[in-house]
Parts: sequence; C-alpha cells; structure tokens
Amino acid sequence: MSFSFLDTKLILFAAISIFLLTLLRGRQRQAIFLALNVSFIWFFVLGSVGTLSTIIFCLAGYVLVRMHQELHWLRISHTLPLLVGIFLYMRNYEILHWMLPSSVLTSMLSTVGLSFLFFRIIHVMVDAKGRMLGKLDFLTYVNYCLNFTTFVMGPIMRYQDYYDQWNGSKKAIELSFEAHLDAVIRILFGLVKAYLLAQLFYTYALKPDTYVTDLHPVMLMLQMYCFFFYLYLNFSGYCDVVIGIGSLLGVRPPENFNMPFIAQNISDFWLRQHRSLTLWLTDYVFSPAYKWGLGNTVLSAHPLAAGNMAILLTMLVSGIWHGTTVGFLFFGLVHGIFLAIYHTWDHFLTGHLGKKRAIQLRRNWLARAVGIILTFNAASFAFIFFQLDTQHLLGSLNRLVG
Amino acid sequence: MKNDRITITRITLKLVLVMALLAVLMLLSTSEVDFVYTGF
Repeated sequence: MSFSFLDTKLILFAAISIFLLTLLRGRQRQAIFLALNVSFIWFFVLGSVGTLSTIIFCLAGYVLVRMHQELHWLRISHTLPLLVGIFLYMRNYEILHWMLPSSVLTSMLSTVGLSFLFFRIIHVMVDAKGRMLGKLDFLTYVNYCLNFTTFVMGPIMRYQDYYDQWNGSKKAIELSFEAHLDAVIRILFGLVKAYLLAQLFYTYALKPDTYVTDLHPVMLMLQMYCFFFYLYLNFSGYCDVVIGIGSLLGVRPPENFNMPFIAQNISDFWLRQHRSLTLWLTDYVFSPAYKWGLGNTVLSAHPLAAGNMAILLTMLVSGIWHGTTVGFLFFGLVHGIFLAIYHTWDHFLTGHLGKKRAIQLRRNWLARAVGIILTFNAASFAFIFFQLDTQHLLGSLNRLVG
Repeated sequence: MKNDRITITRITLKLVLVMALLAVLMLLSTSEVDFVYTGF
C-alpha cells in the first residue's frame, strides 16, 4: 500500500485533528476522535469493506475483553484460538492455501493495520484478565484500537499509557513553544528520512525478485546492508512522523527505534529495532512460555533449554506476525536461532568468567566493535528472508542445495 | 539575560531548520513511498 504523507488532504486532516483534539474536552473530544479515526481508516487506508471488517474485529475484541472481565472461569486459552483463527483467515495466510480449498478463502479484504490491531487487542484482553486495566470504557477502548496515529504500522502503544495521556494524568508533551516546535521538526525529519534518504538506499537494496545465489557475494552483502538502512529509514521515518503528530494532539506513541545498526548483540538489536513489538512479544509470548517451561517437569531441570525454547517460539510468532508468506517464518526462525546462540554464549560466558569479569569483557572496546560488526551482519543476513518473495526465496534455497 | 539570548538563538535556528526541511519536502511533494510494514 502506498499512501502519501505529503498528500495535501492528509496534511489538512492531521492539522484539523490536532486543532480539534486540543480544543475539545470530555465526551465531545472522545466522539470527535472516533469520527476522525474511522474517517482516516476509511478514506486514506482501507475503504468501506476493509474499514467495516476492521471495526467488527475490534468490536469482537471488546466482547472478549468484557467476557474476561466478567467471567472469572474463562481462560485466555479458551478465547485466544478464536481470535487467532479470525486473524489468520482475514489476513489470508499463505499456509491456509495449502490446507483449505480456495473457495472458502478470502483474498478481497484489505487488512493493513490488522496485525497491529490484533496485538493491541490481545494486550488489552490479557491485561483485563490479569485485573491490570481497571474499568474499561467502550469509547476509550475503540479509540485506543483505531487511533489513527498508530493504526497503520504502530508503534504498539500500551492501553495504560494511552489512557493516562488521553485523560491528562500524563503529559504527551511539555506546554512550551519550543517543545511543539521540536515535534514539528521531528515530523519533518521523519518525512525526509522516509521520502528522501530511504529512497536513496532502496536504489541499491535487495529486491524481492532476486535469486541471491546469482549475485556475487560482495554485491549480495552490499544489497543486504542497503536494505537494512532502507528499512530503518522507511519505518523509523514513519514512526518519527506519527510520534510528532501524536505529541501535538495529546497522545504520544512510544519510541520504536534507537540506531539498531550499532547494536552490540542480537538481543540489543531487538531492543533498538521495532522496540514496541519486542516489548510486546517479551510480555505476552516469551514470559508466559518461559514460565511454562520452568514449570514443566522435564524442562524445569534445564532453565537454559527452557529459555531457548521460549526464545525460538517467540521469534516464530514474531515471524508469522510480520507477514503471511513463508519467508517471514524463516525470518523469525533465523532470528530465534541467533538469539538462542547468543543466550547460550552469554550463559556460559557469565558462568565461566563470573558476573563481574563478564561485564568488564562486554565493556571492552574491541569486544564491542566485534559485537557490532557481527550483529550488523547477522541482522542484515536475516533480512534476506524478510525481503525475498516466496518464489525467489525457495528458488534460491533450491539452487543453494542443488 | 544570557539564558534568554541562548533560548532565542536556539529557537531561531530551529525555525530556520523547519524552513529548510519544508523546502526539501516541497521538492519531494510528488514522490510516493511504499511503507514496508503495510505491504505484506
């Protein structure tokens, strides 16, 4: 999908939204925000059918959340498969084509933003079950889910953070001219990143229709690196724009990037790249899976193995969430393997040297430089699976084996 | 007094930066970008 932030209508829409939400208070502000969110999704992103199906998905989430608040016997494991099933069906996952006849599948739905909405709903559902939300207001929930600044590609904001900022108990931005000017500069810098710098890197970046085995290794590395920078500038530029707009209208989304190309290890990489997703996965996939592993009779004696299993599962979920094709499954798997290797290495390093000397080693400039180079190359390599389409990915793997 | 001057200078520079960025974006106004995380 390509919509343009430089479209006059969209710029006007953002300006009107900021003006109205700054001016209004109470239920009026809530109702106008809902109208703005639905209008944005309808006119700029999904069209009528996509908007309607998205709203139904959002409302189904609300029903499940309320059920978890009211029915104490109901477990997340009872309702989650239903939500996951609807999500996979609506997103038209490639794997479903292998399992189901095409007559029952849908390919007409536009589902931009659905992955992010799906994770927001699960977060609210789990936190509501854990009594971490308090009373859930319907309009606040719907506006949180459909918030136009974070709807299309995140960052994944937490409900509690949204609620506190919406109600004014937490400030989105300082009430000074300079703070507002900084938000405007951030929007403009984001646009320059996405519309100018990212495009420069895209010229040389790896393309989806490439057989990587046909490329000279040096050329492949160059294209991998360019794709890494392209993706960073494209996505972080987008995040800069929405964080700037969110700051001005009173609900600032969380930070999502912090120079991932200088990460010292793969774990550090995921705290710098798409950070809001990493924190979500940690809370709602890794932690429960690790806890389950430690409680398991076999795995409880091997916490390292339990940790690695939880890491692999988490990154598989991450891969499947990222996209509907098999390449994203590989992308998650490769990152899971990298993280498990790093986790094991770190475990033995700390065990062998002791905590104090392991920390000293990590602070050593040479170790840091080696860590940055290794991580940058590992992350760039994994992006091959992210970028290639299924035909060219499987073709490249075939040629590599054959 | 000195602090006020520093603040005014800083804000002026930021306003100049806004103008410069706007000028760059005016040149790009016809370009279209595919945002990666919406495309798959």
